[in-house]
Amino acid sequence: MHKKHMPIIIMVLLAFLFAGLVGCQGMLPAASGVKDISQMTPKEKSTWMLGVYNSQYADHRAQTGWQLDTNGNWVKVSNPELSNDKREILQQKKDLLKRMYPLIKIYDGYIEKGVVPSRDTEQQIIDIINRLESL
Amino acid sequence: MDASLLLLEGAKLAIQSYFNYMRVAGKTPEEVDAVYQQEKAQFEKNNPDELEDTPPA
Repeated sequence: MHKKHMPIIIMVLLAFLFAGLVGCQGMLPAASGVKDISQMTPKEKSTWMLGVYNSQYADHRAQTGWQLDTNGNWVKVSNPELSNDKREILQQKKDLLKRMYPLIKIYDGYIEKGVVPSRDTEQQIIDIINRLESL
Repeated sequence: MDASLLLLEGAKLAIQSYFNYMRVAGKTPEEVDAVYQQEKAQFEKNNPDELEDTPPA
């Protein structure tokens, strides 16, 4: 096994471990206080979706040479060299984030009004998160 | 496309997704609301149209 692949292999194994932990939360005793995503309240789900969106957005910005300033605004700080494969993945990620953004706004609109969000909207957002994961 | 790059991207998202999940799991409604307000404020600044386009060179 080549040394340069070791960080990738370790990261993939960690990802499987974390994904497994999330997936197994439903099997943990209720006393643990940790819920399965499907058992979360709409507000908890919205918070989770906003967090996933924000971290993916930040990842795209960081990989294209941007960083947050002290006021929380994005500032271009470098022009990183990107391989064609990387460029393609980042373009796909941008397209998925553009689809996800209005859906989260709709979902969050329900939360703001204190209305139970549409199951269809929720599923569409989860489908996009799954697509991001399989990029 | 390089398979290791795809694996790496997938792994990164899984880890980020897990940590975002843990930020709300097991929290009180007040704690969830604090995280929600923080994420929402950042979300409002994260317009996807402002992300750079990266067509293959």
